[in-house]
Amino acid sequence: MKTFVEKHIVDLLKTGDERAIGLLYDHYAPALYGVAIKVTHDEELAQDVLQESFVKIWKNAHKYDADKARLFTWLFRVVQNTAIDKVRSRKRKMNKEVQTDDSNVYHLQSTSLAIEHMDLQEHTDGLEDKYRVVIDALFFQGMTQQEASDELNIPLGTVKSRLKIGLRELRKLFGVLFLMISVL
Amino acid sequence: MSDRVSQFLESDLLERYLMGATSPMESQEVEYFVAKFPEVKNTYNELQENLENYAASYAVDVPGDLRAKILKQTKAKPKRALPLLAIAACTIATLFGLVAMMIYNQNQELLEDRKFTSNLLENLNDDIVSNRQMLQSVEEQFMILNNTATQKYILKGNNRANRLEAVAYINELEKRSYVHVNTLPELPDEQVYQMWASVDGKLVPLDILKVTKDNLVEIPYEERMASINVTIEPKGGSKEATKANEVATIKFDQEQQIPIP
Repeated sequence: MKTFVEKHIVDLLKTGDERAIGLLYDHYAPALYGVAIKVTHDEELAQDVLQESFVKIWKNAHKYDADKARLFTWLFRVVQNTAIDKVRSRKRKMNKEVQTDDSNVYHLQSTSLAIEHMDLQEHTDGLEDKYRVVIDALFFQGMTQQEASDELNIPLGTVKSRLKIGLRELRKLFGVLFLMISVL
Repeated sequence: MSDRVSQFLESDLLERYLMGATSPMESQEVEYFVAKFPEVKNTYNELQENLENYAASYAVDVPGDLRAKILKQTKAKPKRALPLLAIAACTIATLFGLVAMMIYNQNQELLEDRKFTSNLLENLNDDIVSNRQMLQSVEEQFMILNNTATQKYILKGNNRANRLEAVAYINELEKRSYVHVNTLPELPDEQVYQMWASVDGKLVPLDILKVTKDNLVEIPYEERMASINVTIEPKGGSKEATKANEVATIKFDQEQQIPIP
């Protein structure tokens, strides 16, 4: 379901109204920055990614098709692709592998999770690790299902089923949260 | 829910489409199912919301100065890039067009030059052929004139054409005769001077007499020529000489073909 804000931002983007960028930033920057950090594992690089992504979003606003994807899905893909490109580019420069699944390498000491997303964090914590690693590999590391299968050392069929089940589990977890919000 | 929809939802197409990991054909298939079947659309929307929530669960506060940087960078309207590109493309296209036109014009000029040179060469070749023929003719005439068997006869007009002056060269051995007309008094347009040879008492037409200045003109040679006569005839010449209009004559000695004074 599209929110009123989302629809308003899309309208502004379509007409080239510069206010769209401010609104986009205010509503989506923390989530997108989080995505950039999860992909790059580097705050400074993630900031470059975010900056570059917003420029791309602004320049390619006319390409966004609201019938094909929600605004966040489109923004997510732009940030995800930009971040993956940056990591690959840095990888080429440094000529060494980027660690992909060890959360200890995240340089998150100075970052703080956005307070308004704390509840969501608690709910996603409820997601079993076996599903989380698959979803993270596919959505945040830019791996194909085959690459995830090789990297995580699990059969391709299992990757597919864990992705499907993991996303369904998320539906359940967020469903409970939204029910609680609506009750409150 | 139809079997087709169930089968589609059981596949991982929708999830891969969400990840942006489908081929163009697979994307078309997904878009078709999303547009046609509300169950698929609902599932797809749920997946998108879950992705948004999942990603939001990792949201991190962004450093304060980044907002200002981004707003500054996106100050320019996105559409500006297009006119700049369009201007650049137009400029390049115009330059390309100009260069192409210049090359075309140069090519046309070169083709014209080539045609002109080719014509010139052709004309020069014709001149060479013509000069050779002329040289050959002059050489032949020279040989005839220098031949000891060639006799020279001077024709002078009577009181009706006292300015008429011509020289005839006759070579009995080679059986060739030439005439060189120096001057001819003017005649009305409808009249000409005609040259005759007297053979066996009859006047045989030879040629119309014209001023030839530097050239010798070959005239028909007649055996047993007793004299050369010039008469005034109607334009185009006559078959029979008008004796009353005779203006010049030179008689030969039949044995030696020498003029009789």
